[in-house]
Amino acid sequence: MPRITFPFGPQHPVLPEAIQLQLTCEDEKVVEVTPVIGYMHRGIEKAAEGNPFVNNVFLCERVCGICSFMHALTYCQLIEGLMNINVPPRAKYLRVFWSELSRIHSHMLWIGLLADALGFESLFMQCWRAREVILDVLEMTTGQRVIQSSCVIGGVRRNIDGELAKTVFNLLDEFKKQWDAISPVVQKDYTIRARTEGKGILPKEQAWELGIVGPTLRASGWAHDCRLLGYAAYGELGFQPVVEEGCDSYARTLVRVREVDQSLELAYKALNNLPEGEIAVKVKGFPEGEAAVCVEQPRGELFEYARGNGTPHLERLKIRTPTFANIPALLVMLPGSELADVPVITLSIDPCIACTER
Amino acid sequence: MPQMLSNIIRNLVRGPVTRRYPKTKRTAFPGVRGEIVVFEDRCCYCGMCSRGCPANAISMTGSRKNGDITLGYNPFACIYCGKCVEMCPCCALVMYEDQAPPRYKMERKYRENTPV
Repeated sequence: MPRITFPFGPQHPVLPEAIQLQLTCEDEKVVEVTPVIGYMHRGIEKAAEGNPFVNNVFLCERVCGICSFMHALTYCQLIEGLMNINVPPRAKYLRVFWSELSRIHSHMLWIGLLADALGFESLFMQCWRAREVILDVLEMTTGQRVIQSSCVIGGVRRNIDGELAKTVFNLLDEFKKQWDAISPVVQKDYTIRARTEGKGILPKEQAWELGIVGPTLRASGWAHDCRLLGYAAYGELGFQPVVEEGCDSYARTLVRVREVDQSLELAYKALNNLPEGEIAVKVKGFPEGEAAVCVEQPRGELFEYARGNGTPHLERLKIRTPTFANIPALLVMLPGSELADVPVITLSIDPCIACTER
Repeated sequence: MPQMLSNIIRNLVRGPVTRRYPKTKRTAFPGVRGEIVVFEDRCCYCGMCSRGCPANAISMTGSRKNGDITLGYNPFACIYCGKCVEMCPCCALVMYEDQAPPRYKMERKYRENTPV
């Protein structure tokens, strides 16, 4: 059988962002895949060296639109570690609340995109409609829907109290009602199961060897989650990672579906146990020395490293996003699969290319 | 698909969820970061906003000594983080809850002679 090599992407209806997969096929079967990145490089790490370190929070937020809060949180934790800043407990709980809302809206977006990739348009619309409620909560509590800018070095900029908390609880209840109607469909629907079960298998041992992170790793049976480190208020709120043993695209879907429930529970918990007190402390001085921080983003482990020299500018800022770690998984998942399954398998790692290329 | 049926039937009976934009506009939540308006008559030209702006959207030109200092705000460069509004000691920069309408050319937006 002759082999044909052709490009999948960078512009493809199923890809929200630009990545190219050079697929080699024998008839309808994929035998080889080479991912090509480099379409969206923005030079954010270099730009961060030229900015005063305080302003980099807003730059880091723009690494990714969907998990912007987590990027800001990681950078803030990094600088707080370098400068030995103690963040007030209330700010830590608020950070958990917004992080979990970001996770919910990212997973809802992904479930919608998966449904869209399968041609299940009504589920796609229901998911994104429910997601709007979460975006409304983010907008009314932080000031913006997507780029929240509510996390700063030393704490947070906005508080949630009294009437606002009541409205937030009402909206979260409304979201829960909508999500409870959607969740069984995603888990049990025949079409979804037929298109995802047994597709894009990532064996447990290989997942660990390749350094895969996030829901992709947890769907291969590893209970690995950076939230277990107990950063922000995760240590106090108690948390167990969601793990599935299926190793296929369906298991990855289930992990994300169950994580939406878990994140909602954590958001409720964080808001119910909000301690009294300050929401931010003043930052004095400049960062000096080296630090590295890991934060669990919706897609997996986000790693940041910074080196400061006692001046307002950082010497180096390194950001490694989870999709960069997850792209090698495609080299295992795609060979052997049918060409028609490539979009769904590619989507199952939740690729965020703007993140990857920074 | 059967699990979706109840949802689909409900949606048939219920009205549309989306708004008929621009006829019906979304009302902003209180405290949302929208359009920034510069009231230059209130400005004390301390330069805090231009120094603190992470997007370099605010600039001070001229000098205080010569009396020709002016404040420039570029809404196209602005990222609407609201840092300048928080820093301004004389409320010369005000952030409104409504989003700025689409613009096609660069312009400085000022509202002059407005009482503080």
